[in-house]
Amino acid sequence: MALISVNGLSFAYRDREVLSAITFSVDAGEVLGLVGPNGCGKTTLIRCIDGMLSPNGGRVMLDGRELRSMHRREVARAMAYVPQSAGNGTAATVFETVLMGRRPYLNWTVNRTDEEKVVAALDLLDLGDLALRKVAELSGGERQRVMIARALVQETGVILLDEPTSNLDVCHQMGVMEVLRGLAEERNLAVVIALHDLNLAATYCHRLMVMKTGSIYGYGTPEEVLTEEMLRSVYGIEAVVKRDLSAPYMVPVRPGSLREGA
Amino acid sequence: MEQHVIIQEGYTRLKKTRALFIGGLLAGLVILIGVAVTLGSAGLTVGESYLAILAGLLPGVFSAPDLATTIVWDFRLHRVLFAVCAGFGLAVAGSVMQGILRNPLASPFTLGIASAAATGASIAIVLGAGVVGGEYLVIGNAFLFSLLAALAIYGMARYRGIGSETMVLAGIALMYLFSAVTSLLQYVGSAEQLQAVVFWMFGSVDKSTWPKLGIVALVLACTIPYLLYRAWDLNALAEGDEVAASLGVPVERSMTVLMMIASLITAVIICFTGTIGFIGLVAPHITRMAIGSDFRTLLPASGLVGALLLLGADSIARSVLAPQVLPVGIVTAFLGVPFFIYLFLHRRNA
Amino acid sequence: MNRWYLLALLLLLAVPASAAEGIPGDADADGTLARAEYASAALAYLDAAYMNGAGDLDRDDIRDAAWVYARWDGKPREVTDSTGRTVTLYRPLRRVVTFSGESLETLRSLGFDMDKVVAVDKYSYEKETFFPGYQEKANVGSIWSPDMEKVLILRPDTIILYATISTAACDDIQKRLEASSPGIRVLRFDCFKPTTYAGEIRTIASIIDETERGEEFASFYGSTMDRIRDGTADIPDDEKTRVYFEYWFDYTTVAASAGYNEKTELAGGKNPFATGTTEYPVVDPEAIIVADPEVVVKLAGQGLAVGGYAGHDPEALDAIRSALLDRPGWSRISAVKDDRVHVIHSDILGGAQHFIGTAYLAKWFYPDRFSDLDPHAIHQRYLTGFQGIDFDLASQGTFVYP
Repeated sequence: MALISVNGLSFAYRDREVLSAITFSVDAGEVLGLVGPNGCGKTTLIRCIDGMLSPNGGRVMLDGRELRSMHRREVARAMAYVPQSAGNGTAATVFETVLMGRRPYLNWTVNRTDEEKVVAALDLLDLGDLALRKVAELSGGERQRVMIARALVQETGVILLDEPTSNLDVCHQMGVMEVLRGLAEERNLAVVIALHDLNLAATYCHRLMVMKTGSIYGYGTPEEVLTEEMLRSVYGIEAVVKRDLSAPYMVPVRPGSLREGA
Repeated sequence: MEQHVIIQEGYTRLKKTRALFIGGLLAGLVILIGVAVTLGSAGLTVGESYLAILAGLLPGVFSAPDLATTIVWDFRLHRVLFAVCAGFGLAVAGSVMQGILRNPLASPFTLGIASAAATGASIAIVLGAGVVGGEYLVIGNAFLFSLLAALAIYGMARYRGIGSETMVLAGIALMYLFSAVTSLLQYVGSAEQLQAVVFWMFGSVDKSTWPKLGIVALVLACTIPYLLYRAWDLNALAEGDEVAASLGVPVERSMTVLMMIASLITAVIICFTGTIGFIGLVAPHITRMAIGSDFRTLLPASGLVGALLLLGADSIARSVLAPQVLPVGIVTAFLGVPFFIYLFLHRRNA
Repeated sequence: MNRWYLLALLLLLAVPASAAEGIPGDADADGTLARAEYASAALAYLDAAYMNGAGDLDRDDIRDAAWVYARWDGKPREVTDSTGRTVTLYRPLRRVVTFSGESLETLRSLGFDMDKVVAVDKYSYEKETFFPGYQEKANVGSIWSPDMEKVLILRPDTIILYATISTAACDDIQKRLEASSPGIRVLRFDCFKPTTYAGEIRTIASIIDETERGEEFASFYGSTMDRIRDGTADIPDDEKTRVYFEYWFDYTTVAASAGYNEKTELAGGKNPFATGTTEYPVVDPEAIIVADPEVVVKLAGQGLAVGGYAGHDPEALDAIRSALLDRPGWSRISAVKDDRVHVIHSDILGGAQHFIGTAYLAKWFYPDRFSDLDPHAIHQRYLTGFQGIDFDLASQGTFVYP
């Protein structure tokens, strides 16, 4: 059952077309990876899905309902968003920043359940020790995890993430992706995640969507989508795609070295 | 589980610290008010001052010499309370502006609202033109022009997209525009009028009266509770426009309404006092450094800090050069200096 | 709401305390103090003061009643101040606070008992040579920054403020005082304008019952000013002496409604920069040379500057004059060639002594017409005869150079 369904979405900024005729869907329990080179429109697409930008054409359906017809508050309870850059951080503590994720449910005072959910999310993202530190004092990677934790406490059916792992080290990258995949499957969430790292995407996403200059180039399972042909065409690089593990992975090679040896 | 408990206890402790801070500020303010009403060149002793206050409140029970009662009730009491309300309002307005614009250096000055008020006052003083005649000529003009500036910022931002950057830029542009007009009026006016304009721009609580206090208190009573009610939205906006939107905050509408309210509070205060600077900048900053940026506590706390600062500054202004009464805006301007030096020395990143 | 209740209460309390609006002792409140009323009031006072009787008039009341009876013919006096407002006086002036140095000086010229002035403005307070001993009076600040509490505790019955300048500030002081001291009288007099001073002298003289002295001073003042006016009345415009008048600040002249411009023109001078509406316009240095003034007058005296009543310092004024002569291109100006560059101190050109300064101007502009005019003597007579201070112009103060 498709939780998110996008039909013929197009978006133009001034007179420059950024997205054209995007159509895809994401089921509950599925992790969809958005990949593509810089400027292909991943961020814009995510913003359109979340309702921050109004598309010029096409529709976004959330659980069968048109996104446009939904009230902001309803959308907030249904979709969470993790932005690309963490900014400079505010003077708030980690705890309070994550607590902001409860805003769609909060009364003016914070009750026990809200606090517990925050603590649980902090635990999941390995932020327990940093709970009472100021966000501005954390490293870029730690801040990203804080924002993911905030999205988690929002308890939505859909989570949209815009390159949440770019500043993380390898172990935290995998940690975060494990959490996301686990949550998607346990809680039946739909997760749309824009990623740079193709291997990470291939390992953890159920399906991938490759974008090139605002249109969909490829859409399917990692096995189907991650091909040397795609890499050459979309990214303009030479690489070898290996399929000897559970998920395909690509190994970039220097141009010209393929001819010299195997 | 252990860690869970530690974290929750930590947050509870944070909340307690904040409550204590606010309680301490409140107590400090009451004490300062108590001291401020005894200051003045009439040579009343502390006892005589308090007796006069009581005699005014409960005339049947207490009696005091009517000269003392006149001095305290006609001159001191409303001035002290006005300084408290003005300081509170300016600080709250400043904190709201800083929250919405995500810029800790935002204040009614950097948004051109104070400059606009000065222009309105200059027009009234030099050209004698205004919307309300008589003694409210200057006041009416200053108020009107402040709101005009707020509307201009809103209009400019709407044209280019409401966001914190556009508002700050618009504000700076307005500030320069209005300052230029004020300077021109100062040049054209007579020496008399120039003196009046400059004096107005110093900012002082001298001209407070009970009706003016009533107006300001009324505006604060209507707006502060609403701002507190919207505290969570202010918290969300501090995280960024996009994040706030995804959390369900109607970003554009909220920014507009909250900016308008902050501008209204600022306008209604500075139309009576002239341009008092730095309270709206310094008070929220200090408060944020002390208790963090949760608006549920930041709003009342920075208001109290602002009230303390302004009342303190006014008390200094009345005492340091007696019998001359220094305009309080000059004292608050000096306040800004150590503050910025501190910021300068403690800045870790630009 | 508490506030209204209070105000009503204060008014009620204030009435008996400040003595009702009415002549003290006017028992039937018919607006006239008859002989019989005065007599019984005096007896009642004596009875209350010495015989333990009951009475509500105190010594000051009786003294005021006596004054009203003797000098005002038992009737209240109506005066019109310089704003056109009519104020009714039921008692003479007994405790006066002046916010302007000019009115203070005028009171002294008219022989007012200066002990009755209980407080002065801060600028007069600081003039130790011109107002010696006044430092024992209270200092109530300035018009723009008045110390209202101090004024109140002095319990004055009369306040004097400016009439046509600083009106917003003066109106504000007047409003606040009338609100908290219902019996107080606020009189608005400028005492520095050539057009109104003569009338103000006579008005104030009548208020303080010094009509003789008032006439004497008025004619002293008037004769000087009339002499100047008459002496310059018949000069056609194109024969008037061209004058460049420089204000305290370099290259800033006077024009339009500035008082110094008015006085320059009164003395028959022609100010080539008098056009426009700015009172103190800054002029292009070249324009001065082009205008080729026949006389140059420089104003000295701002703030802490030298001369005036503060000190005997002809060297300082000489230095100011030399600086002017050294300006580039000034050696070509007629005024410099004919040695008609003068420095004058604002103490005798602004304020209540403007007639002295204007006399100097007239003499400089038309030395032949005014050869018998002696501003120095006028100044000395003013100081010794009317102000009553011990100030010898020969050795003290510097007001003009040369």
